[in-house]
Amino acid sequence: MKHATTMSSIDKATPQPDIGENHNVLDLHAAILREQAEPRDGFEPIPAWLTFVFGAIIFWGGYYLASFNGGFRVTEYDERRNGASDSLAKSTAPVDPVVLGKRLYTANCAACHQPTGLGVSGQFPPLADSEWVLGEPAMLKNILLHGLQGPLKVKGQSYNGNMPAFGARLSDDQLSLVLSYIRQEWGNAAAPILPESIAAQRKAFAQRTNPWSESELKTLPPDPIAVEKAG
Amino acid sequence: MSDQTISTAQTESQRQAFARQRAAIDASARWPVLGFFTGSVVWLLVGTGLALLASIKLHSPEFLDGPSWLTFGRIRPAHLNTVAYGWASQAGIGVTLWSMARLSRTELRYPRLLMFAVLLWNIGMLVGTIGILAGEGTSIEWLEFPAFAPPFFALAFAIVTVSTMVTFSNRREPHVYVTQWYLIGAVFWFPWLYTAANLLVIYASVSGVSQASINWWYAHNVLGLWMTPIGVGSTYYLLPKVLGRPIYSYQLSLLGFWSLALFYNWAGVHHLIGGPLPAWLITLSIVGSVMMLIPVITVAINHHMTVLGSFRQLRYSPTLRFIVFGAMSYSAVSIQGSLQSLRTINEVTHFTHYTVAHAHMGAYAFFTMIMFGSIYYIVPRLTGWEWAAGGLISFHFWSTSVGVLVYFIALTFGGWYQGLDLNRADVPFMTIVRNTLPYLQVRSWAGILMAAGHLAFAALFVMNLLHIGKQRSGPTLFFDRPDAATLTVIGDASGRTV
Amino acid sequence: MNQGPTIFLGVFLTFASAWLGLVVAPYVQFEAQRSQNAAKVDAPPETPMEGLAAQGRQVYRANGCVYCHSQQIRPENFGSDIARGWGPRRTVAQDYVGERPVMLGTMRTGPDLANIGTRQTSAAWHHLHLYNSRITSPGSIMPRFTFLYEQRKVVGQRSSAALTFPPEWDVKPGYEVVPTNEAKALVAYLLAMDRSRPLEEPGP
Repeated sequence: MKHATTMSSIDKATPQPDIGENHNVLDLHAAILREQAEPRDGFEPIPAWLTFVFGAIIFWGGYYLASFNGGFRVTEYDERRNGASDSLAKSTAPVDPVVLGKRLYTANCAACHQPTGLGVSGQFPPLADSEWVLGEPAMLKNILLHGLQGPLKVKGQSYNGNMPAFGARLSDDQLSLVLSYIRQEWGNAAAPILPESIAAQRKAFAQRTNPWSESELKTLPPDPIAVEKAG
Repeated sequence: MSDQTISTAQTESQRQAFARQRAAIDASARWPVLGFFTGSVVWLLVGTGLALLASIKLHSPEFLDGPSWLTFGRIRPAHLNTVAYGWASQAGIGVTLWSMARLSRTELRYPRLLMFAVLLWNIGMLVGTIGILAGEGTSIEWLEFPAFAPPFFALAFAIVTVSTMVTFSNRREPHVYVTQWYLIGAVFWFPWLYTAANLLVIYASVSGVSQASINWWYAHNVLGLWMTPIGVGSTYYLLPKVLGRPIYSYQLSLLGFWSLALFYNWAGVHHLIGGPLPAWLITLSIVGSVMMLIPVITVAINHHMTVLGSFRQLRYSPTLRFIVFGAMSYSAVSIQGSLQSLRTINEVTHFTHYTVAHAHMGAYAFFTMIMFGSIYYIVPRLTGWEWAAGGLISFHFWSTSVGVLVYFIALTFGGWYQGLDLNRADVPFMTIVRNTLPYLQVRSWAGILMAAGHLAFAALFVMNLLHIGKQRSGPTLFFDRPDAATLTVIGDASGRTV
Repeated sequence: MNQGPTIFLGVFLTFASAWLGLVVAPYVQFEAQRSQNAAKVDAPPETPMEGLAAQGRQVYRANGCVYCHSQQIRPENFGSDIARGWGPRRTVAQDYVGERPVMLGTMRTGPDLANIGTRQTSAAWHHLHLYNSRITSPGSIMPRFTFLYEQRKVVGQRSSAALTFPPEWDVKPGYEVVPTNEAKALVAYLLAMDRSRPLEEPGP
């Protein structure tokens, strides 16, 4: 590089009294020569309208902070509450059981049986128009309570998988909701399943720990509560 | 005597004296600044390659898969860290060191230590990036380098801060220009941020959601208190410098700086809206984010009024074109940011590709483009050699500007639709995934365009370092100016620009 | 503003105020709440996961799962996280006590996983999904984690841990795919992810 001021001569904290002395003006390259002076400030005033705009923004900020601070409490997560009281009243409006059932289905079943209820061919059986869903309720309830393992035929197609048990994970109410949901969705039309009937099946097979096999399910004793009441 | 007196009042000998001073300052800064710039260009290319890989893997998941170090979950954080710390930070440090020395009108202090800092920084980059690809990444966004990497950066940055502040405290120029305020802020804020975040989150036993709030306080401040001050500060320096006009309003400069310092700090937790944090923390960050409209509008007016009447210069000057593009992007992305921190908008955009588009508008369309413009201005003054080909610079500009705009539009729309669908519980998740694919593919094409621009930039940089190309006496411009012949004369008192 | 000390003081004070507000104050609040909760007689354990699941967290971290999957449920009136069945309630600070690193995530290229342990209880499903997500979930863009598995020749008996593939995905005869320890740990972690326990006090 052309203009070598040696490194050691500038490596001190205090500079030479007159920098640039070593440079002959003819050595300076064009870029430095044509430069403008260093930038300087102009002194236009802040436009008046700007102060109003900023005032409005600051006002909004203050209002927002005052309204949504949740009392600055660590336990208040809902910004709409000002921490006046700690408890959030749970909504008491009843929710459509089909909606609840669908949520449970999406959360627990859809990963395998798909949101469409069509399953995945060869892997996860469909629920739409399935004889296991629409047929004898005792089989369906017990599949959920204890799981199912081994070869299985659904709508003429063979499967050989492992459905986990949901008896421990879901309560009778929840099982009732999700089973009722699948029995009325995707073109299915079968009566809903009551929580009491789930409880009865749970009690009848309380000792069981293994998943069912297809043959065992087909030979289940009839349901103690024979007929589900509609609605 | 100040170099900031009105140019017509400077005598010929004064101008020569200032020119000699600038040459000496540039000589003192040459090795450290070129060192950091070289590091930045290398990591720009690495980071761009990782970016293309990550982008393609999102819509073609089996592209180049197999070994663990090529999995998307490692490539993506490797990309972020290489471009944020390898490219952006090193370019920013180079610009900071040179600008502070020039504006203080004194040589850059401790250049040999700074060369050591260049070495440390790039070693840190290498071990950190390899660490992420090897599965040692921390999965804490913007802090993914494993624990053995941060000490390199902390030490390197301590050297940068000391050099910058000692240079400043030995200034010959009595007036402290607005750029210097921003640079002082940046070199003070970043080390504190970096050290505190690493100590608390990586090294100490802070766990649970405290980690999250510290993480995003840090990550957003990397943008707001490190990249933004350097980008805005560099704009404040190079716009008036190239145009030969004063900055519009000192009062606006003051307002812009202090409101940024006050508000930007508080915005970070807007990354966690809807998350497991108490309402007060989220609300504070939303307020801070919206208050950012104040410094952004202020700076936009200040810059715009400075350039007003000289927009035709954008036809000629690469520096000006990149910087004005970046400054306008800054206004746009910041206003977008203030809006998307509002809960109603955030409900749609959070967790989607919309946020990714916004991030690239800020880190790329704003910061990276300003760094390109700054490097185009600074490097010829350090190497004594003009850029080899205006055509290549033009290609660089168009491919990167069009590329980032296509990127932004694709992922903004894609992300918005993604967010709307995510909020409809009856839309199956896989449908949403499928709907994003065309936008992700467009993003890959945009990325290829941007990568081509980076290759052109790297080629120009290498050619300049090696003094390849014909020797010019005038600047490398996009087009020849009608008055080009007079541009090499010393002390042009007419205020003509270059 | 030509005094260095003025600039420095302003830069320092503005930064320190936000550091106090966004870092220190929440940390102090969370720690106070945590010790308050821990003192209760029915407090849940401090260490959220142990053993294989804790190792699995490190596998999740090392492979960057957080860059596509979130682990946080937004409230009922904000987004549709609960309606999608990703959890019965929003997540709160107590759900992440003791987690290091805490991987809340900021992208949902894939579904939220905060309660995946309650939604997908089949280890076999997870292994198939991780090996190649398109086996269980057609249309998925998740990467293949084949490097977490070992394809090897069957020696004598087929391993009990070997993956069972559907016919069109099966490996060539005489070969099996077994999970490495990392895969087993990761699946244990996923199966253990559960932030659905009801909060003791009325909360959000």
